[in-house]
Amino acid sequence: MSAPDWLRAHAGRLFLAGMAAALLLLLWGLAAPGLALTGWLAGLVFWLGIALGAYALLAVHALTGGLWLAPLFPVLAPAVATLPVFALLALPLLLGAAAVWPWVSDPSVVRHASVVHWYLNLPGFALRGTVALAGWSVFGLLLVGGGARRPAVGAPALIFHAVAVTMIGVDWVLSLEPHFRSTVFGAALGLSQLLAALAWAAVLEPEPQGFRGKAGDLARLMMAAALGAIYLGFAQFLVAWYGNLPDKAAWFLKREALPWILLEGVSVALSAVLPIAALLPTVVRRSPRALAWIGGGVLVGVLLHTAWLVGPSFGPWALLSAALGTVAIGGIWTGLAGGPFAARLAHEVPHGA
Amino acid sequence: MSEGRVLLAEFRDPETLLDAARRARDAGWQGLDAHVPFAIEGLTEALGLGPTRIRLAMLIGGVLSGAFVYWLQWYSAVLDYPVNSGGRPLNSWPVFLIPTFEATVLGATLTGIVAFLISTGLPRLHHPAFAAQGFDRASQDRFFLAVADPEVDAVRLAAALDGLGPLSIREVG
Repeated sequence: MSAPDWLRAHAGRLFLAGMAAALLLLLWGLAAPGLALTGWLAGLVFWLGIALGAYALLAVHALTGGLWLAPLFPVLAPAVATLPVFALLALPLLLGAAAVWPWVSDPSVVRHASVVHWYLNLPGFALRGTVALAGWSVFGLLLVGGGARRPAVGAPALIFHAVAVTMIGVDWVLSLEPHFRSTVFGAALGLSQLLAALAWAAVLEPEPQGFRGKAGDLARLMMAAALGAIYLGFAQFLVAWYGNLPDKAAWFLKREALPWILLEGVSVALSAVLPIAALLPTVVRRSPRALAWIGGGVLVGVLLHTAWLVGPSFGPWALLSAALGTVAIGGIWTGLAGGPFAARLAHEVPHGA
Repeated sequence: MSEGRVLLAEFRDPETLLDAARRARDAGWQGLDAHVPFAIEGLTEALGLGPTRIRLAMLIGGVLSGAFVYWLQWYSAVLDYPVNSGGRPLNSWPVFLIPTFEATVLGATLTGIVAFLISTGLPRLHHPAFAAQGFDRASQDRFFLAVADPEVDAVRLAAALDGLGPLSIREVG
């Protein structure tokens, strides 16, 4: 039984498991709303990242055309088509924003009043989130429904994505600690989303029917994405390290403490060293089994990296809530994306001219 | 790349060439090669060519070049001209990694180019196959299988390729 078939067969149970974890988080949230919502945020950033990576790949394909997307389409299309689900899943964060982002209840944590006035305020936050999620949903449905190559959809979808992913990265993740700044954060987030989407495809269907012997293409894409993600992530660290400014150093120092440094260490090993080193030999690149395992490792690595980004503001307990949030959102989303949506999209394989 | 007598079989399309190459490989013939206008997927396997050793050369070249550049930075910053720059360690590995990475890529690429030239015998101005009439179409729309096996002659080659309809079978060199 292939992985997508398994997902389809277990969609109901996955959905129930997700709802159960969400319920646990809700109960936890009654006692400690900040911690519970951080876990929800970590889960959302991770799973939304897979869908957005798929979105970016579909948009690139709408511009470039070619056969390279065809083997990935049956896995990526349901992920993109279910982007509207994430708009609903993001609602709890908007309702409980004051418990998560410190600047909501106390704007004075932001150094410059003009930043609060023009950007980092709750109405602006809600508006940007709504526009981003709505735009992704609309463009996503256009990309999935497009079929053949359509640059007129791909180009605006990519431009919108570049802006939206930067905004969401700043709003949802960086503004957890408003003193830290990083201009490359959005691009690094976008690239690790690409990597996550490719890994998702590798786990679910490294070599679908009709594309035997083509696993090497996915392997190469994954390798390039892993190189890009680690390059930008490292550049971000290097700039902070070299600049040696207190606010940037504080952000990294907090993440260099236990247990967070372990998380990032394992994450670098799984999402960078593993795909880059293990995929060097042709034999491994062409083996769908090896690809699925490496893809699984990459996904775990990206998840740990997400927890490393989001969690440290809330202490080690955020690890547990992040685990719950991942199960909750992952269960609900895969229950929907793997079930009803996948069945309808499974046979639509476009391959531009 | 063998000098001397070469048998050339000419084909109209890549699929037939692949079939022909597989037959020649399965017959156990030596000195197989192909001259084609573009890269054909699976041709290396069909010809039974072993894995190229260029990768190994590139790996070694890359590692040596990267190690050299890291050593160069370490030597200049730690031994030759140590400067305390804002309390950063003399051996500032996070910064050193960037040139090391770039040098690794550069070293691997240059080694790859040199290894490619050496292993293919390039740049060479002549090859026996050039003597065949119309061989220049190997860079346009024709697909040539080359067999340089002393045990094989044109008759055996023609028998082996029976049914594939080669446009021509010639002996050159």
